[in-house]
Amino acid sequence: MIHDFSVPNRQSIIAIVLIIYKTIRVVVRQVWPIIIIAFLGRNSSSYSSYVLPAVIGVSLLSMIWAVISYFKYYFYIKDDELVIEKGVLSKTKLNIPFDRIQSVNFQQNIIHQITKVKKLEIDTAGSSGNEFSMEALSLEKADALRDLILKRKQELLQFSTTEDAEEEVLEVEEERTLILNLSIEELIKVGVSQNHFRSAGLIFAGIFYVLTQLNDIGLGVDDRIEGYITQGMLPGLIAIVVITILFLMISFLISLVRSVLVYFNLKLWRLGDKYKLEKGLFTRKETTAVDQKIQIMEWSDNPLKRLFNYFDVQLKQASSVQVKSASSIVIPGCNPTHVKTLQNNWLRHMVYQSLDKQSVSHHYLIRKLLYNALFGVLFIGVVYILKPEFILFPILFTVYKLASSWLQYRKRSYAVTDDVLYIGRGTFGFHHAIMPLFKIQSVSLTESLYETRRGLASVNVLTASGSMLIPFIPKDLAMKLNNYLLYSIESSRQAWM
Amino acid sequence: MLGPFENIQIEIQALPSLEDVSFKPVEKTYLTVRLISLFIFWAIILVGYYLLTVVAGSDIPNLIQQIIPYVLLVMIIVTFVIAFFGVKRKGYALRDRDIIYKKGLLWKSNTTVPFSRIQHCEVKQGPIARLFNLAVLHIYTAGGSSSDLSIPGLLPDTAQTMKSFVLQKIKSEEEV
Repeated sequence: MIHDFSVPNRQSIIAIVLIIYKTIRVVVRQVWPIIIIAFLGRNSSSYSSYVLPAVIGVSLLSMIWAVISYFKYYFYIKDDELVIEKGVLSKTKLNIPFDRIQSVNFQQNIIHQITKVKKLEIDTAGSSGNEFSMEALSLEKADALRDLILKRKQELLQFSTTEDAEEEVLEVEEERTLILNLSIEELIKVGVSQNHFRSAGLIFAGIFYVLTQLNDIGLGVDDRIEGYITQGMLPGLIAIVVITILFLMISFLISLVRSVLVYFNLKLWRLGDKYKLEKGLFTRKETTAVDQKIQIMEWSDNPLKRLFNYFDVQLKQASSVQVKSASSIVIPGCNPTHVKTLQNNWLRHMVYQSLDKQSVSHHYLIRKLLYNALFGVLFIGVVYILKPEFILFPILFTVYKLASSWLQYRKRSYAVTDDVLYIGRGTFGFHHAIMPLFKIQSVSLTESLYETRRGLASVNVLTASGSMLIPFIPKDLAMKLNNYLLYSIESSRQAWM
Repeated sequence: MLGPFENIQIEIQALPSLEDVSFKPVEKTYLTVRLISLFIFWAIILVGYYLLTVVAGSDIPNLIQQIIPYVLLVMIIVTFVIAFFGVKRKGYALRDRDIIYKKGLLWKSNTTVPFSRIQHCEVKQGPIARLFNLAVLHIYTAGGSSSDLSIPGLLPDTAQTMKSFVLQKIKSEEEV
């Protein structure tokens, strides 16, 4: 079926359902403690009598709003621009030129999957930058629109550079290779080796959030907890250890479940000059990254991942907003061969193998140690004055910081070849980043007082998706590097994003 | 310029170096602007602190109440001293292919943005700067604000000239 995008199109009718669902979710997230109270009905009869009608009223209004805005939303293609007209009270018309579109991505949550529609997200770059999304488009319409945009965009790009465009476009469409497909076993490995401390932090934040919300509406539990502590029902260290272990076990389970949900049946394809990633159990997500848009490639591990011999790869794309995870593709469970394949595809003929990795000055370590020791002494001092019974905590924290300074210094390295810049860093795991020199946006040569006194300087390399720092190297070397990097950018004619 | 298949050996020493650049300092009146804005900033903080002690003075521990004025005093002196000497360190330079801005007293930095990586640029004037007839040149790059550059303390005419120079450079870079 051929779709005509030159006339105004509406989204799939499912969009109404999805907009309503979204609005209700937002409302519920805001007022859930009140709803709980209303249903519990205890000591708040007058409260619940108007809360429930209010919630229902808001939901009804949002439904009407969704229906109207659905019928007021059109999109069409005109003069190589995607035009979106929308708005109930105030009308908006958005023109998105094809050459400004960075990527077109799809997302499907469970409702999308049942109703056979896709959510379309369009990413643009530039200082005025915006992202646009269409809640629901039928599967084939979404694909047709994306193909049309990408193809036309490619053509525009080719016309402006070379004449023999047609040939290349066709050639590009044909290649399609599967690079990575996570099996269940690998998926479990990915889940097991997640950073569990991060999930622990999330749970902690979640619990804290729930507690404050409950406190706000007068169902405080703070007093009760305080009561337990003062009564000595949780005697000191043993309790803390037990709680920590329990906490880590729950975090472990949660991050395992989360990875299975997010990365289920992950497939990474190479299509011509772009990568396509599909993943997810309930919410199936499909993202693409074109070589040209990818600014930095990172691959990292942690002790557990090293045991399983795999990395998480991140392809960072240029983004309009501050670097968010949304604009970078994360591919877990890549073994070293996969990493090599990804590098080969992206960097092609550039010189990036056999990197001559340089370490940074030992003053980097000394400065870190001094800084952490100073901070630690202050921290220990403050705790000693205010709560001497918790003195162990700041001491352990300081020891940890001092030890990690050493690890961080050991892992800091950098390498520059004719074509690429490499930065290695990390604390317990290794974190590698590589980028072609011509994609650099600007270079900053910095020195702190500490560095000046020791004839050192740092080079901060800024890109369209984050910065890479080369800290504490000899000043004259930093200067040379600064000049060389600028020369590389300024002598390059390649399109960098 | 390098063609796509040329691969000449580069003599790093022969590359144009940051060391040879002569920077133009920002206008001297910018110091006054900096000091006035700092003054306003601290005035607001001090009034805020005073109101806090009036409203909630009894809730703040005595020890902290005694320490805070000294901390504030030290911070005020340090910021003014840094502003005073820091302004002299600010300078900029235009080269054939890029723009350089240097600043910093304790943390020195030299940032270079090639014209080919600039998205757009504009001249802005804050209220205080307008009184002293000064303007800021903002240079925008793609992808977030981390690599953006703003050069303060320029005469409006200079800023406009620099802006049109940069815009013309961006255009000619695109045409090549």
